[in-house]
Amino acid sequence: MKLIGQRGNAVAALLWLLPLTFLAVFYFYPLANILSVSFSRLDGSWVAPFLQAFTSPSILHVLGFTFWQAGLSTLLTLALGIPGAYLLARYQFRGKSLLQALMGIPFVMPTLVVGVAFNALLGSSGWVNLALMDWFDLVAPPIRFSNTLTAILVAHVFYNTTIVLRMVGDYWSHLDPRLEQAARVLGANQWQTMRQVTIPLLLPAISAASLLVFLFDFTSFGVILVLGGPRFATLEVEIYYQTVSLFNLPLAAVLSLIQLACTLGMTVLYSRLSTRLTRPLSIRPQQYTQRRPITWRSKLFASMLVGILVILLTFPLAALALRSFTHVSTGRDQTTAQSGFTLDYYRELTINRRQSLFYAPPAASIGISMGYAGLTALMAMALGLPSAWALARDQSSSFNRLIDPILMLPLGTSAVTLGLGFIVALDQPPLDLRASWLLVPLAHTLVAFPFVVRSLTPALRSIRPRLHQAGAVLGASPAQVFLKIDLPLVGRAVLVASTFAFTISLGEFGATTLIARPEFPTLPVAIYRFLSLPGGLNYGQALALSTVLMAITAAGMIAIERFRIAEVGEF
Amino acid sequence: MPALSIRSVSKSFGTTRALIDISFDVSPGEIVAILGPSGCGKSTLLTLIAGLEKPDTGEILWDGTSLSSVPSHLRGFGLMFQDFALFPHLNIQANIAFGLHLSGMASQAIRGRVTDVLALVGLPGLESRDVNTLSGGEQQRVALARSLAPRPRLLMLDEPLGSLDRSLRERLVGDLRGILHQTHQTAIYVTHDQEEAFTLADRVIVMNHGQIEQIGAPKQIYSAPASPFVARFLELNNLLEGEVFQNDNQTTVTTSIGMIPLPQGTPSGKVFVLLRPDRTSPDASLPFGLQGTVTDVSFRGNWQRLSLIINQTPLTFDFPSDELLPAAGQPITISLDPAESVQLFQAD
Repeated sequence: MKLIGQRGNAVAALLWLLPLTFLAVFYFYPLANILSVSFSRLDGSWVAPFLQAFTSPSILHVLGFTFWQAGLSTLLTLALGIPGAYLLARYQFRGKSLLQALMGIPFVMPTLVVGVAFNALLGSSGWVNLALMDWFDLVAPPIRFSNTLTAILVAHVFYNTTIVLRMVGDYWSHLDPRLEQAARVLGANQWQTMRQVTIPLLLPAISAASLLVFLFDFTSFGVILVLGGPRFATLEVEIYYQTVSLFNLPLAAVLSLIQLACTLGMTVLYSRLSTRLTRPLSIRPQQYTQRRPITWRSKLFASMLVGILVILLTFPLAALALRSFTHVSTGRDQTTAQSGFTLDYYRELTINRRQSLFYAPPAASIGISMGYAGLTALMAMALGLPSAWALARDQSSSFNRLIDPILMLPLGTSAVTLGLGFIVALDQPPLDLRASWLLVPLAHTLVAFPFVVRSLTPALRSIRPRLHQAGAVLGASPAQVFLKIDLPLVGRAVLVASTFAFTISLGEFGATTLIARPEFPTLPVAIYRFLSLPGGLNYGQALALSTVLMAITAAGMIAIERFRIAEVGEF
Repeated sequence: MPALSIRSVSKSFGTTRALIDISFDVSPGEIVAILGPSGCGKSTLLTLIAGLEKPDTGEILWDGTSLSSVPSHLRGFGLMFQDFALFPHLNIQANIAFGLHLSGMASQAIRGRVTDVLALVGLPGLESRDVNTLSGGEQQRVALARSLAPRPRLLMLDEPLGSLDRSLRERLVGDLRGILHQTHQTAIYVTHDQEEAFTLADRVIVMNHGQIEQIGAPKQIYSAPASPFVARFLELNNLLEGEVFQNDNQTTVTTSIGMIPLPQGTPSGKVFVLLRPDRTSPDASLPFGLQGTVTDVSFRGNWQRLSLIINQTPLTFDFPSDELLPAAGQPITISLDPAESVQLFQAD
């Protein structure tokens, strides 16, 4: 007995070695460094910035607003995402894999691009307002969207619905429909079955997805900046202002710490909940759980939901793509606009206009982004798989209970703080990476890693222990059990996790903009360069590059869906 | 008047015809077993009766009233699933009380009812146990208790003992029979095990490829199977192809083991011949004798099975254990009364 315990500990130590080393070197070290640098600039007591943070009404307001908008956004995202997850989990219909591919696109779009996309659709000179003004002969745009709370909420729902669709939908698609049938036969109507059986069984997946969505909304930066305007600020935005505009590094550091503490608190709460909520389920292959919508009610439900999802998730992007092919010239009185088809913006992308040694042609950033994203996916899986396995194999271990929330910290850490940390900390021997292109995939891995762990752990945990025992009795070592039982069973979750890691890397902007080498710009960095330059041609090129990013993501998502069907299968 | 009526029900999944024109009745208090190999459509039939699926054609009635517009949860039926489908997020008490809460029962009464059904299934006092820690037999009993608790008008059991070991199964079949009779429960029991069906049921329906092969009391089905399929399914394996001839006031059937005399007036034509394994004698004491070579004698408790070969055709016969039989390789004469032991099926 003792021997087994010791070997178990040895296995756990081995599993944790790589992930924890990585976190120590590339997360805690830079973070500690930037925090100590920040506080060293302080003249008086270190209490002062804390006092300032907790007494200043404007900071308290920022704190309150951050929680309020994140909570509201999460609720709205769940309200759309859970019915959507049901649709994808339980129904089979034509165009489903295309729909799933489309759903994945918003998540990887850089926040700046999303802001631009929503403005292109609903802004004061967006398609909708232009059309309404044209039809009804209005002088002013009838829809006020930019700089409202609605814009922030819509953008957050737009971004994060795919998390709920993926995580909850995937879990749901393996839930044994007989449990629901049992409830029905025992006298529960559809609503009661949903509330008393389905939702409780889905809670591990729902809470995992909610936490991620909440954290993303909580640390939201680009969306607030671009769509919220100066009236709205989250903690992350405030950190940015304090760092870049006011250069009040001590206060920025305190706000970073507050954001971290909040993240940690929520994550601890979540992991306490999740161990209590997760139950061994007999997972079923999808072909036994899915059906075509047959009754008129299910057809109505399916088509309405598909309609809503398509409108919300694709119209802004379609508006963006359309705009990238449209040449708009405004008349002198600012009320009439001429538009026509053009390919100019795309043609310009391959030309290095600046003739600068450090300046790559915009099209090169496509290859650079893809390379970084592939590397990030590999590294995130290499770190995430052992971590998720270690977490899943021993839920009662106090070490695991301690480490679980710590793994989530990078997600809640300000990208601005992290980017500065990388620059400050990793520029001296033995870790002189300042000039290295490796900084970018390392930073991306840091952000993608918690994601991978979060989506793999529930899947690994729901494998019945009986299967592990069966494997062991048949002569499989723990490693073989993992390779031959766990991995095939969670193959889909692994694929989903690596897709997320890949796409997180494609879309990451906050940290990348601080650490990317000028000659190796990623797509979002290149887009941002164009956005920050004046003129219609630059704006058009930003739209064109965004469209390219969108197309790559869509192609990748579709490829993965096809690959899953052809190669991995379900079980 | 029957409690449940199935009228010409058919159901297809894509191109697979799961059920073809099924009709039968179940009387109040009756236990009907549906017996058939896996894939014969018996579980599909239960999902139709439970209202979890809709039949393509045909009708299901309760007390003469069509159920077609009554959703699952208002039918008042119970369904016990093959792998029990216990709710993993609820303890035993909450699993059993699930249907009772929904019927609007007061919580005091619910507690009493849960205690009662747990005692009925032989698990008294286990209310607060976690269902994920139960053994297979305990899960089966909790699932039964959960199905019985709301006093369903009709209880359907889908291979409820399929995943359990043999001795447990035999014990539980007995218990189940006692519980169902004690509560005068109208029930449909789906199984592929003829022993379970015969032990439990008042009436057995044998199904194959989505169609009903035979309906009858267990004894009737065993003594007079309606088709070669039913005979084979009941492990009556001495089935031979043959042809009936009439010559010189004598009716005989020719088979691979020779000619067998038949009662006068049997119509001529191609047939399947079933030689029943019982009601024979290992000597020449009965009217018609068969000579063969013993290939095996296997001991089965209070009876033994003799395998022999006649003209390269293997046959088996069953005798009481105390009968002295020749060893393998020895010649043997088996005698039988064709009027008792031979049954014919028309070959199409």
